[in-house]
Amino acid sequence: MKTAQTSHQQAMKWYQQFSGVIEYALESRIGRRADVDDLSQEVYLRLLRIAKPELINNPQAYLYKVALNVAEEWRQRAAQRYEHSEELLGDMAADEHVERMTRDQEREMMIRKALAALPLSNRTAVILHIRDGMTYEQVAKHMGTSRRAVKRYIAEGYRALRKPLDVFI
Amino acid sequence: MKDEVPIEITERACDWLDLLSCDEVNEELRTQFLDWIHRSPAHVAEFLKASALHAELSARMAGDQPWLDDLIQKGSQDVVQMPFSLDNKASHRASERHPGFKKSLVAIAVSLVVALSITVWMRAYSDSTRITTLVGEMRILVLDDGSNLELNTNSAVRVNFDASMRRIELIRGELLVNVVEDASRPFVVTADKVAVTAIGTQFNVYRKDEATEVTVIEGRVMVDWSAGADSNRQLELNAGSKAVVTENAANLVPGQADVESVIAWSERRLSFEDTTVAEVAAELNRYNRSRVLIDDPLLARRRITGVFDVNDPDAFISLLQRLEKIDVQLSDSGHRHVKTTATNK
Repeated sequence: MKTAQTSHQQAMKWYQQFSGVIEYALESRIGRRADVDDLSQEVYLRLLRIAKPELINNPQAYLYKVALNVAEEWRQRAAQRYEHSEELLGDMAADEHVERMTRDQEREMMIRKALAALPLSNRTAVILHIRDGMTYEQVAKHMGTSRRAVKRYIAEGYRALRKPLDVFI
Repeated sequence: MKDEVPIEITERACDWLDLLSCDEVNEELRTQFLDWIHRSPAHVAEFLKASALHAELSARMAGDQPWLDDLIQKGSQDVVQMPFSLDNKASHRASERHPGFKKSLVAIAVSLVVALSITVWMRAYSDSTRITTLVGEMRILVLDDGSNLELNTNSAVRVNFDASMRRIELIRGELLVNVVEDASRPFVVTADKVAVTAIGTQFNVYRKDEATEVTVIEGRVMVDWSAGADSNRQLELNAGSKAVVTENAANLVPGQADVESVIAWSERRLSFEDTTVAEVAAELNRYNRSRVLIDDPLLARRRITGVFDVNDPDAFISLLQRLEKIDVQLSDSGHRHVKTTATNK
């Protein structure tokens, strides 16, 4: 179905933006140190205020959009608390760029390491699901196991992966 | 970290992510998702965390990344069930020619592929790397210098290579190492107070609670052990010999060591000759979380000969069933208690 596909792509786009912005909001030096649990609390409250019929067409996209908004608001509010000269901001931006590059490489390393450290079944399921875009059903077939088992492998994998990353997620 | 929501919530969140990405998402499904989200902020948090991780991993796994291929399971790693024999050495020998062994070689080849990728990590990330195996897991590692290290079940090593020394510390368990010769860099395996030095050889070190066993398959090694007050002792071991090193003594096991049965584990089989049922059970239990416990002293002392697939304690139990009338009870913890039911003839 074309519409479903498009709205899914839209959702994908949002959540990719979401992870970028949320990282910035929560981790940048001007942002306050917070975590996704705080953010989710706020997202949850806002979602409750939205009428159901409005949400029902694409709840996933709505969720990301609201999360994106909240993260963005936090970031702006934090930025306003600092009044920097133009010059200083320029320096910061340059520093920030280098810092982000290094951080990105470190993250890449951490992810590789964390993946390699996962038990075979977990990392197989995660890689097949994410890299090869297989659904749980397809992963299960490929690994010769049940969808239920795959669900567990992936959930465990995610939990294990996000721990060493120790950041915004 | 306050990560500890029940795993079921993470599971559900991942599940939703999977379901919603399918093409056919109907209104019923969307309503269910919304209801789930509306139920708790923790659900929102888990879903957002899973989404963000999924997004990040997707981005990083995109494109041609061969390292990922090395990390995934290729086909089935099951090892065929090994035949066993009853108190009969002749058929034990015959079992070694069983075609099933080819399959275990395939399994080893597969783990080699995985091992290669681990080597890459070792080189890239740290000079001193700790590698462990879980119960029932085995790993083959190709080290920086080309030497092979096979790690048996429930084992841990620390690999520490520098310009002058190749050092492997066996923290627990058992390893089999095939050393590539390099006269300028001695290869040393330490296990507690025991140090085994080799130049171009293959040997097995098994660190038990009470002693460390060193068996040389090829070449020669020097075994050093500290006997209390600073005094170091040395023992030279040749191919086919085995030494048992305890707290304060190293004893050469007389005669040719049964090298094949020492290293049988590396093919995921265990071979026993004239060994008590209790010892066989203890060995099998090293590889399996659910243990076989022999609750009968007479049965425990019986001697058997056989080859077992390490992952298949059932084969062991059915062997016992052929020996005696036994009763097997499953305990709450998942262990199997074995007792004889009738008095023997």
